[in-house]
Parts: sequence; C-alpha cells; structure tokens
Amino acid sequence: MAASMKCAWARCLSTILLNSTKHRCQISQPLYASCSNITGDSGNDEIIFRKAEGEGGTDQTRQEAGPADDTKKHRRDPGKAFTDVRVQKILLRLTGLDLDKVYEYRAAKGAGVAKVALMSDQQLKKVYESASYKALRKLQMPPVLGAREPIDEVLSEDPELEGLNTSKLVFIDISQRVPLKKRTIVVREPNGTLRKASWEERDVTLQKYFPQSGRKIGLPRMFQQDNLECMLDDGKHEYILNRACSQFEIDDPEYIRVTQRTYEHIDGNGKFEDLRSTRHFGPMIFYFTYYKKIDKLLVAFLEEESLEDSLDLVKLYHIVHPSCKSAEKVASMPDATPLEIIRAFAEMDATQKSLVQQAIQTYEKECDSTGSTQLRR
Amino acid sequence: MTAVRLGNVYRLLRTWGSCKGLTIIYPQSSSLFLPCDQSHSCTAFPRVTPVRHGSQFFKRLSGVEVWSGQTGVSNSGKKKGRRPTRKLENLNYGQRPGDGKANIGWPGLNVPLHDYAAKIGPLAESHKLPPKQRGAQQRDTRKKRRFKPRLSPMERGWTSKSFGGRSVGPPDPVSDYVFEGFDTKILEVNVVSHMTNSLGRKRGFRAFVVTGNKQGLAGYGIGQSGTINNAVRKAKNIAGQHLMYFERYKDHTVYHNFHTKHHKTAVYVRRAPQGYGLKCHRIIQEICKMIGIKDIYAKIEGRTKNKITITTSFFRGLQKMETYQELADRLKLHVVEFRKERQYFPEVVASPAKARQTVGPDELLDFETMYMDGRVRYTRRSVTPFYAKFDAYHRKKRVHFINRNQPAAQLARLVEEQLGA
Repeated sequence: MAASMKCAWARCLSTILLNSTKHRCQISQPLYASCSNITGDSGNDEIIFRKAEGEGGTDQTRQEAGPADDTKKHRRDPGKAFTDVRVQKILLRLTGLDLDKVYEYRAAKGAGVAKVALMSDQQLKKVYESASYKALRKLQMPPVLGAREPIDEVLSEDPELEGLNTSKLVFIDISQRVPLKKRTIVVREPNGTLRKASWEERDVTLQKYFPQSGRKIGLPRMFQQDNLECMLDDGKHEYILNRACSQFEIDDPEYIRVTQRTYEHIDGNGKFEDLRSTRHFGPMIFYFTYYKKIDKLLVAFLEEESLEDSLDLVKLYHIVHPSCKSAEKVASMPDATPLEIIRAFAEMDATQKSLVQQAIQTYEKECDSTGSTQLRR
Repeated sequence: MTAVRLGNVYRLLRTWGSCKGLTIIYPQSSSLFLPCDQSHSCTAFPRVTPVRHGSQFFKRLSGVEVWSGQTGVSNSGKKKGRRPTRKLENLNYGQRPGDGKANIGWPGLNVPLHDYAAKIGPLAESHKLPPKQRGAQQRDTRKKRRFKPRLSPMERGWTSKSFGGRSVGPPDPVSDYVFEGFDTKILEVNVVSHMTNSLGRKRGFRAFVVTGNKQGLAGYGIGQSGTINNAVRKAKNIAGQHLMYFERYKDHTVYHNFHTKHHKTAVYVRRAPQGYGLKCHRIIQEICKMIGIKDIYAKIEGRTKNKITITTSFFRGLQKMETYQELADRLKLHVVEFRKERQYFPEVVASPAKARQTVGPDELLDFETMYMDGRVRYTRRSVTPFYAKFDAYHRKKRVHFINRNQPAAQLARLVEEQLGA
C-alpha cells in the first residue's frame, strides 16, 4: 500500500509541474538560480527557466540554436535551445521520477542507527510529498551550453615595467558578496602587460581563494583520455558525470569533452537506462537531439514499448530543429497518431533509417498481439 | 691364636665411629670371625677413614622417617581435621643401587649375585638400564597428578584459568533431535557445599551455561554435580530444554532500546548499527553470540556480580521486545525509517492491515524512549580538560592551526609526485 502511494505521489507531482506552463512553482527559483551561469531575469512569465548570461560571451557572439553544423560544433551555443520551456518539459518527463533510484542506498560516514517514526496515513502522505519535491531538486539538470569564448582583453600596456618580475602576477578581487563569475581577476605579465585572466587562470585562482568542495586545482587524472576510457568501460557513467559537474564549470571545454564522450559511450553500448531518473538523463537526450543522433535512443525506447517516450523524443527533435523535413510534414497533418509521427521522422530525418523502421515494425507487431496502439499513461 | 669376636669389635667401633662422625669400612667378608695372626698386620681390621663432619645428619633417619614430617599429622591436628600437606614420594623410583656414571656392575646390586666371581668391571650391555632411566631421577608417574592439557587461545575462556567463556559444544541429543548448529558457553562455575550428617561438609560444583544456535534460538541452564564436567553437562542439557526464540533486526541487533530489572539487576539495552560490535558485559556478550546478535550496547546497573540475575534480566527484556510488524499492528500506524544512507528518504518497514488516518495530539510516539518506562538516557556534559585553562595551550593551538591540513596535504602531494613520475 505504501509502495503504491509512493508511485502515485510521484506521478501526481510530475503532472502538476509539467502540464501547466503558467504554474509558478516555488521550486523553480532555487532550482535554476543557483546555477552560476544563469543570472536573474524575472520578467518573463512564460519562460520559467532563465536564459544563460556568462561573463565570457555577449549575445552577439552567441549563434542561434539552429541546425547542427559539424565543422563548428564546439563553438555553437545549445544553451538557447536547452532553456526553451517546451524542451525542459519534455526532458523532465523523459527523465521520470523513480524515488527508489533517486534515493539509492549510498555509503554515508557517521551514519548510526536509522531514525524510526510512527506515522498515520496523512503524515506519510506529507512526508512522501516533501521527499518528492526534494527529489525534483536532485533532478535539477546541469544546463547544456556551448564552450565559453576565450577571454582576450588587455587592460593596459606598460613596457616600462618589463623585467620587474620574472613570473606573472595574478590579482583577484576578494571583497565580499561578489558572485564568482563577476570577480575581477587580472594578470600582469613579465613584459608589463596588464590583461584579464584567461578562463584557466580564473578557475585556478578562484579555487585557491574560494575553494569549492569536490573540486581539484588542475585536471584530475580521472578525466585524462586513457583513464576516462577505463572508467567508461567499467560502466561508471553516472559517477563520471557527477564528478565532472562538481569539477568543471558547465561551459568549460573540458566539461563538454568529458560529458560528450560519456554520452557517446552510452550510445555505443545502448546503456541509456543507467541514467534514467538522474539529473544527467535530460542533458544526454538533449545532446543526442541537438547533434542529430537520436536513432539508437529511439530504437531503445521502442524496444521498451514506451510509445510516449518515443513520441516525446521525436517532438523534441522537431522543437530543436524546426526546419527539418519531418517537422514540416507533421505540422501539415494535425491529426497524426503517435506512430505516424515517428514513422515520418524515420522516413525523412533518421540517419540510420533501416534500424529505426525495423524497430517500428517490431513495435507494431508486439502491439498488434497485445491489441493496443494507444498511449499508455 | 686368639679368636677375636669381630662382631663385638664392630659394634663398639660403630658406636664410637658414629659419635666421632667417622665412616667404618668393613672388609668384604661374610664371616665376622677371622683368625688373628699376631705376626701379620691386622688387615682384617676395619679401616677407619675420617670423613666430613655432619654427613650422618642426613643418614641418621630412614627415608620413610624423614617423610613422616611432611606426611604426618599431629594428634591435635587430627582432631581438628587437618590433612597432610604432601604425599609420600619415592625419590629413588627408577634407580638401582650401584648405578652410576662409571657404569660398573656390582654383583648383588645392579648385577646378579652369582656373577660376583667375575671381575668387577663395566656393565654388560644386557644389564644396562635403558638410557632414559640411567641415573636420572624419575618422577613416579604412578603418582596421581592432574596434568591439565594446555589450551589454545581459541579454546580458552575469558582468562587462562577460568571456566567462564569456554565453549563446551552442543547439548546432548534428545531422542531424534540433534542440536545442529548449537554451541554452549560456560558463564560461571562455582564451588558449592552443603552439610551432611555422615560425611560432614560435602563439596560440589555448580555450572551456569548459555546455549544457542546463533540464529535466534537460545536458552540458559544451571547444573550441579560433584565434578565440574558433570555439572557443566547437566547445565548444558537443561539449557537445551529451555530454548527461546528471539527476532533480530536484520539479523544483527535488537529492534528497539529497552530496559528491564530483575531482582536488583537492571539492564539498559540500546540497538546499534552494523559494525558497532558487542559493547557490553562479557556475560551479555556471550549470550548475544549464542543468539546471533552482533551489534548492541548494554549497561548493567545495580548488582553487577550476580551473573544469573544479569542473564535473567537480559532474556526477559528480549522476550518483551516487539518487532516492527508487531508494533505497527498494535498502534495501527506505519513504521517508517529515515536513514542517512538514503538521504533520509521515508522507508516504510512495516504497515498494519489498516492504518489510522490521524494521530492524537497527546500521543507519545518517540521511538527512542517509548520502551524505557519514562527513563531518559543520561549523557554527561563534555568536560573541558584541565590543560584548557592554561595560556600555553591556547598559544600552541594558534601555532598549530597554520598547519591544520598539512599531514593530509603532504600525503596528497607525495602521491601526485609518485604518480607523475
């Protein structure tokens, strides 16, 4: 009875949050404002999830979230597409809320005996509610952004200072109540140039003066290419992504490299379910969608016989790439069934067409035998 | 020729010699009468050789007479019921007169008499005693002496000599039931006695044991007998007839804290997480081992020396213990666990058939204290050490604060260096 109550609450909560665009949830503010890349913009009612504004780039340098161009992949900013409210809703829905997975058993230092409480049905409901809200906080997705633009700003040229120092001097503003992103960090070169610190220098200096727990100065060995491969072969995807989140800034090229390599490895092995109901599932789906690699993912969803997930994925693709062929076709047929939409995508935009069509056929056969092609909720 | 009565002479000389501390060496002749020839020197006469004064002291009394000093009891002592301190030992056990390092055969002593005509020479091989016995003082192994076999550390009890803590195996099988997986531990062996009309004080042993199969079944028993082994055996079998079953939380600890008092012994028990161990009196430790409890804290208050009341108290508490399901059914409430390892997620461990919707405002449902009868654990407030009042201590603290993470940081740097190389 308690187990079913738990599931019911999780579903109930998800539908409340996701079905209403106007619903201003209390959780939205703390969930996304804490991300250092995203600063306040409380004006817009429709978009709950705020735009990213970093110190390193301005709006002009950021490109539109358009079709993925392979040659300049690393320079584009997917952030704009990621923070679209429709995209967020789909990603959250796909991630799901498995309370048992979110609250997995993890070794804890100094854990004594469990605290035991005696609760009535009402008290239990309340407690599940708060646990579910807490779980949603845990499922806050680290945004997917483009790599930060390198800082290259010289403040002053002082050739008369040349030879004064043999090493460069780094200056940091340590006054209180300044966000880390906005702290001024400058470097005086031995040749006398005063310039703004580069991103790498900023990271090192900030970690020295304002250390964040779980972060190391310099690249941890784990993220070196060979070691990363070993870890991935061991199947430690979630651990790698969690550590990358704590070690790097989200727009750090290293973070992008590590996460993208992890997603590719998962794609290669088909182990998408490992990340289900974690905060990394959404970013992973978005990565595949943005770079047009959703075929294996779609096949996996169809093999699971979850039609709603498959439909969500295709819809997501159409939102992120609105100018693609299948999007236009689907727009022209407003009464299309889920399978028809998926089939349209498979015919027009799938890179591994045969694989996807095969999966659709298998799904249809299975459904025919069970007698249901309707969406199951 | 005057026949000299040598016998008289010998007697005289012996008396005179003993007074003077002299040894008389008698001639090797069986006859005491020898013709005395005036023309010859008196070779037949005994030679008198001076020896060290005082050796007669050791030979004045026979061995048995000397032993009577230790083995005998005076008349008044007998009345009072005194017993001898030692038993008579034959110190010459295993020896033969005539045996010695030189290994010479003496007819009549270590060689048969009829061979005496032969030369007094080295012992023939056939007559030699086996090397082990030659010369060495052998213990009389026929003596009754208890040789306790040396116990290995695993077999020993709480101490090398005590019976407490020693394992004595499962109880004896009863018809077709074999106590599989059972082990018994002795908790106490006492010497008891009572007065009888014929024998007077009659001594016996009382053994107190606990038996269990480490899977929740356990029982304790007391047995008395004239010998320790019999007493232990009796106690073991009685314990085997009085088994109780106890539920354990996740097979390692009790379900909740409890308190019991039996006679003057109170036991406070607290449940413990895995890896905590048995932090309690050794008696309770043995009992927990027999039941299969691996982690517990128990404190005994009151009479801590009466092992039987301690055991009874503890068993009583365990019998009254409630499992989560029983608690849920009694109160009609869900039993929910919050663990740090699960980020304090509410985990329902037991639910009643139909739970209540609400809880009354005055209901006391604090799990930690609900079985304690209103008793609350006393935690001593932390005591500042005596050196905290000195300035030198605080100065030193300030100096050391600079290096507060250096041991770990130095190790990390060393590791980086090694990995880099």
